[in-house]
Order: sequence, then C-alpha cells, then structure tokens
Amino acid sequence: MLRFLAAMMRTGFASAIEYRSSFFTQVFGMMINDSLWVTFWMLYFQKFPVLNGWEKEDLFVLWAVITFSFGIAFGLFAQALRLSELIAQGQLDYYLALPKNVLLHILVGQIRPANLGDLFFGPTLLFFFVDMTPEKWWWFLVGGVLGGLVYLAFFVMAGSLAFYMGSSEGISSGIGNALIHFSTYPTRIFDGWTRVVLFTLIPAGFIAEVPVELVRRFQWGDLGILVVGTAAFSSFAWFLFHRGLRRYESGNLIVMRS
Amino acid sequence: MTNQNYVIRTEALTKSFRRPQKATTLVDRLNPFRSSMEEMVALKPLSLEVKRGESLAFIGPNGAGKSTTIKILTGILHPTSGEASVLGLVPWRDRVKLAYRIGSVFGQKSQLWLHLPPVDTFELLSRVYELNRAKFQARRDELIRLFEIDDYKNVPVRKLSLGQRMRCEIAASLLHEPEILFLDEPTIGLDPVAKASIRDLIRRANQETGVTVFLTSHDAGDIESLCKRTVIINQGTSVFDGSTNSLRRDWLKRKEIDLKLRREIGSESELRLRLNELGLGEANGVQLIKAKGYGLKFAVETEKMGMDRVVGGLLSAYDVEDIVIAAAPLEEIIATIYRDRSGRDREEGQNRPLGARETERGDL
Repeated sequence: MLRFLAAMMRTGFASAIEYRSSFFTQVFGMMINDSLWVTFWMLYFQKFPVLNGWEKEDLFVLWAVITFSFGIAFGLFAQALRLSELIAQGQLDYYLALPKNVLLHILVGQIRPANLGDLFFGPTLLFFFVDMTPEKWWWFLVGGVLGGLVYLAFFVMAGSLAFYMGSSEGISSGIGNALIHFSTYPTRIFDGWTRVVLFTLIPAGFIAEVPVELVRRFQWGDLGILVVGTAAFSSFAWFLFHRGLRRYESGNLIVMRS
Repeated sequence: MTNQNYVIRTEALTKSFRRPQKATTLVDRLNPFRSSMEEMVALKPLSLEVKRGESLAFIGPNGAGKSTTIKILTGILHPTSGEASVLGLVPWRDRVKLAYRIGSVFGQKSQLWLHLPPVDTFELLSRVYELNRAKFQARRDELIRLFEIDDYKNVPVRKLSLGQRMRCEIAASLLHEPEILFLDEPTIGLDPVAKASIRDLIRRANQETGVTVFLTSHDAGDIESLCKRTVIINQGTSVFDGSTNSLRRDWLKRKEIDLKLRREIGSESELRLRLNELGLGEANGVQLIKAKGYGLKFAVETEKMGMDRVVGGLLSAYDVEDIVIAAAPLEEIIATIYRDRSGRDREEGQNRPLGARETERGDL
C-alpha cells in the first residue's frame, strides 16, 4: 500500500509540475496570499496586543499550523475538494475498476500546487517569526498532520453527502468553507455552545486550537484529545463514504486523468 | 456457478435506479417535502454465459443496458437482484480480488494521465497491480513492441492522436495479463485505418494470449472482425444470443441486385409492365429501387421470392453485361433488430426493410 501511495504521489507531482511556470506561480501566489492575511493580523495586534490571552506570536503559530494542515490535506490529497462533484457526476468508475481502496485512491489522485504553497508557508512563517525549539517543531509537525487529517475527514464527510443527496456540491463546499473560516480564527474567542459546535459539527477546534496549544505549551491531555478527535472524525468519514459507495450510480461523462 | 469453462455467468441479473418523479407544476417543483420517487429499470433479468477465451460482442442501442451490465460485471455497480459470477468471484463483493484479474478499456474514460507520457502511467499501473519488477518490465517492453508505440511512449498523452491514445489504453489494460478484457466502445471516433489497427491488436490479444474479450460497440465492423458470438440487448433485456454469422444469415431477408445492361432502358412504365409480365412486382417482394441509363437496381425480399427465380427472370428478359448481388450490411440488420424490439417500427409490419420477424431470444 505504501508503495502504491508513493507511486501515486510521484505521478501526481510529475503531472502537476509538467507546466513548471504555472506550478511555481501557484505555489508562490498562495504563499503571498497567506502573507497578506498574516499582515492584517499584525496590524490588528499593533492596536490590540492581547486577544483572550493570545498574542501576536500565538497568531503566527495558528496560521503556521492551519496553512500547514490545509497544505497537507489539499496540496497532497486535492481530490477531497472535488469529492462531491466526482460522486454526483459518476466519475468513480476509474477507481472502482482498479484493485485499491477507492477512497484512498481518490484522495491521492491529484496534487494541487496552490495548496502546496500553504504547505510551505506554515514552516516558513515559524522559521522567520517565531522562536522555535526542536520540541516545538516536532509538536508542530504532529499537530499539523493530525489537523490535516481532520480537514480531510471533514471534507470527505461533506463530499459523501452526494451519495445520499445527489448533487450536493453547493452544500459540501458551503460547510467545507465554514470549517476553513472558523479555523482561521483563534477559537478561544468563542465560548459556550459555540465551542461545543467547534469541536463537533464544525471541528475547527481540532485544527486551530489544540494543535496550536501543543506548540505553545505541550500537554499530554491536549495530544490525547487531538488523537481521539482525529480518529473519531476519520473513522466516521471512512464509514460514511463506504456506506454511501453502495448507492453509487456511475455516469457516462467523458473523463481524462490529469 | 462453478463450471470452470465459463468465466462469466449471470442469472436473472437486474438493475433499477430510483429517481425523483418529474414535477408537473411549478408548485410541485418548489415543494421541499415532495418525495415521490420513480423506479427506472436499466436492466431486466439478464442471464448470460461466456466461455474462457471467447470473444463476445455485447451490443444494443443507447440506453439498452450494456454499460450497466459491464459495470456490474466489473464490480463498479451493485445489481438490484440476481446473481453473477466472474472468474468464480461475485464482482460487487470481491471487487478488489477481481480487479487484479480483469482489464477494462472505456473508450470515453481514459486511464492514462493526460499530462504525462504513457510509460509513466504504465509504471503507476505496475504499482497498482503490484507487479513483479522484472516481469512488468518484460511485459511492458513486449506490449510497446506489439502495439508499435515505441515512437511516442515518452510523449505526453495530451499530444497523442486518438488512435495512438487508444493503442496505449489497450496496452495499459493488458499490462497485468488479465483473463478477461472488457472493452466499451474501443474504436469510437477513430479513422478507418486506426480502427483496423485496434481491431487487429484486440484479435491478436485474444488469439495469442487467450484473453476473453467482452466488447460493446456501435460499430458493426468491430463486431464482424472481432467477435464470433453476439448478444444483443435492448430495453434491458437480451433479444438475440447467437453466432455473428447466424445473425447475418438468419436476419438477412433482403438482398440487392445491381444490373448493368448492354442496351439502354426504355421508359419506366414500359419497364414496370415488363417486370409485371415476369412476375417480378412489389406484390412478390421485388422492388425497383433505381432505373437510369444502363443500370437497374432491385431489392428482393427472399422470403417472398427466391433469388434463383428473380435472377433467372431478369437474365431471360434482359441482355445483362454485369450483375452484382449484395447482402444488406450487418449494421442495417442490427438497426432492424433494435427497431423491432423498441416497437418503433411496429406499424410497418410486413414492409419492414429486411423482412425481419418478431422473435424471442433463441428463435433465430
């Protein structure tokens, strides 16, 4: 399986880099885009240095973690973003005809250069603006990877709605965007029921809050919460997709691999 | 379902899809609680057996259920009811196991990566099928030589012609030495030379490696040149299952006679009068199609009058320089069977072009 995944990644990367200038423009374009968002936050913290206990450096860690997670999820497993479209248009035939797990095969089916920009932006931001120790780098890596899995699981769940609802691209992208938006803010600014929502229905807390806490001040309890949350969401996404696959209706759209 | 001779067996296989019933009024369309569904039958009970090494044409008009059947047999779709066994496996339950042993080429769905050369896809497929490296390299080189793709094996697929791409598609589907090759419209959109070449490659694969070929195509040439057996399905059910030769022989109730005379033909009324004197009128199944200069063309319904009587009569009445007797093309026969089953031609009754009759499976 690992050889297969590595071969898919290699092929996806070779396909993405076929148009070199476009590839690098997308990567650097996204890094500039992310920089602008961080710049806005820097301007905010010049006016208000502390936000619910969070300082400028914590915001840098937040943006490093979420861009890195997002980059892992959608730079390397880009088809998660197209899952509902693939299902609704009956484009899973190719994956079903080959002897591999359909969901894994779909997810590793495309590299997205723009989101590789996110992947590189996170560590770059930390390297230049945050005082990092080897231990912090390690927990950044762990938190980023687990956060990426939560992103993926959520988008797989949202995409799998297409099995049950038919055309669900609008709904899937809507709830996907909700997760992205909530994860770009320090979730500690929310309280009460909103926090419950952020660890259940829209699990931004597992992407934005807990991984950041691992880097800021590591605690085994936080790691446990993150691991359990990631495992729960991943398992449910896996279940929802494979349950829905039985309802798959195929289609006759002309399709090329790219 | 354990007979080793049969690689594919289906028994009363059916597939239905549920879809929302079409709303008739705007109010109905806007009603969020309207939940009436209707069932669309894609495949009526289908029973089919295919022997190892056989080359089978599985044809039918658009929407007949061909692709649905192939998708069930390759494990892509779950049937609504019925049984199927492919290489002793239940396709929808043993999809992964089965996929290692079958290959598929869908003319409209590429497995080649658009921006990469075919060899890169071959390499990826070797990992997908977990092929032994040395064995894969030998097989790849053999297919590259056999399919004559050496000149463009390193050219990105997007720059290949359709014919070149299809050669690569078929080569890719044979890399893991499948026991059954499912081909869905493999020659669609190709020019005659490319079609001939693709057919030749499929025929060689069938004859040299013994791979069972399960082909769907709208091209009668594919069927004639590749498949000894033909199954026709229409509206989700099988309407013919027999040899491709018997399809031509038994359904061919009309022949065309083309005459070139030594003397110019007179007026059409004189001609018709003379033909009636010979008993070669439309009532007897002989229809004059063309009469111009030195040429005459007739369509003969052989069920009504034997060719010996028609030809004998014409030779006795006219000074004939040349005569050509032609059968209707297979394409026309298939089109007739399609029309027959869909009931579109029912009003035409006895006047159907090929004199085709209402038949159930096995009557032919």
